[in-house]
Amino acid sequence: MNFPRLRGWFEERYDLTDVAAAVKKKFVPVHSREIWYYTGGIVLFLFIIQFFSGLALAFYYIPYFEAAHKSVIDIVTKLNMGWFFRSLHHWGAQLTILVMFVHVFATLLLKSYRKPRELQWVSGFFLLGICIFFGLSGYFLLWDERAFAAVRVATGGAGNLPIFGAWIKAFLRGGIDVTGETLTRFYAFHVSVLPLLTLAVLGVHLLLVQLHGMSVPLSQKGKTQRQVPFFPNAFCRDLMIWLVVLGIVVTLATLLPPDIAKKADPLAPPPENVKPEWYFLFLFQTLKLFPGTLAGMNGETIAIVFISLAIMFLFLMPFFDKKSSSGERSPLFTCIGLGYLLYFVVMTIVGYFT
Amino acid sequence: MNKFLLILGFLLGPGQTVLAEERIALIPPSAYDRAAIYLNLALFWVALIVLIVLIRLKLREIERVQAMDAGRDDENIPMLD
Repeated sequence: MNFPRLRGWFEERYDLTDVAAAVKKKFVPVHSREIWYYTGGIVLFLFIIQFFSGLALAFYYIPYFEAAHKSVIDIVTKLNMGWFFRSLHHWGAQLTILVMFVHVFATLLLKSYRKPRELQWVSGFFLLGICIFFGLSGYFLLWDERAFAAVRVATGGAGNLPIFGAWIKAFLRGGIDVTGETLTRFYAFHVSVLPLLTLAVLGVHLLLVQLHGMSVPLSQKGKTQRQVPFFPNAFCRDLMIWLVVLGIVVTLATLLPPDIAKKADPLAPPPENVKPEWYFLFLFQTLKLFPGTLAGMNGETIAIVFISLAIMFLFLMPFFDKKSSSGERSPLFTCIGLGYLLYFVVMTIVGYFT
Repeated sequence: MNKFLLILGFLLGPGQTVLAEERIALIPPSAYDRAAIYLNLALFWVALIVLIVLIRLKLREIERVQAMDAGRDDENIPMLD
């Protein structure tokens, strides 16, 4: 399977020796924590699934508030394999965000963000934010009562941010309240703005990974380091894991197709016990912890400021963790990372069961 | 009495489906289609497992060759010309 004529055709026209040399030069360290390296590759693979399944859905979805809900029902009930592509897109989204959180927390706890990879962390953090907005905007495209209520709460929460809050809320909603304008806006975000942003930030992230190579955890430093070539060794392992992930997504899509609630009615009261998607549950639970008013101020505004500061601290963690950057162990930041992880998991579980 | 029977007939008979909330079939409802879907899912997993085994065998072969250091150029190799 060498295809010498095809290879000769390309080599006559393009000098690919530099590319081949760069691929040969890339090595991956082998150690007991290497399993976490694969989470980044899984996210990349899920992005590809999302792109193609989303493309198939975009051919039939109608981004207009009077037709959106019906077009989703038509995709599910009338189109050949429409139900499967919609379910695949839904489960692909859930898994992308889940694996991305795993990737972020693995990077955090293994201190892979330390010098010189701070910008890798920053670009990865942006990707997580983009992914969550992808999830929210995609959820809203259903135009059902649950999605409508969830977006009203989420954009309302953004409105509680001091200074820019009102502007962000109006920008997201395309007006004072959540309306058909919001649907058009979220559709534009979901199919054009966010994919372009993802491509750009993902490009930077992957470029930085190539530039700096794979990070070796501090606990593995000093141990005899074995390295294997990325191509074909690590690539073949990636491929096997991607096939398993593909199997999981397809199985979930087949056995657990997502439900469609009643069409959204902007004038109707929100349905009872409405909850946001699972990745917003920790924020939802945090908001519940704060009283209506605190020291004469709006409790929700204080909660949003508190959450924003906590997220900002997490975002800037590589710049605060000086010990890790100088190659020393930093138990304080490990504890902080574990605290973040524990809070996220516990609050998500509490939010799910209450 | 006739009215009562009419209402009872409507509620217990096929009329109740009118009152029931419309359920959207999230996957094709017929048993034949469902059986075909589950069979295809099983075949898909078989294909995936075969592919994974093939890649694993290929990887083992690559690692065996790498362990032999067969790719390294020998500097002292005698040249014929």
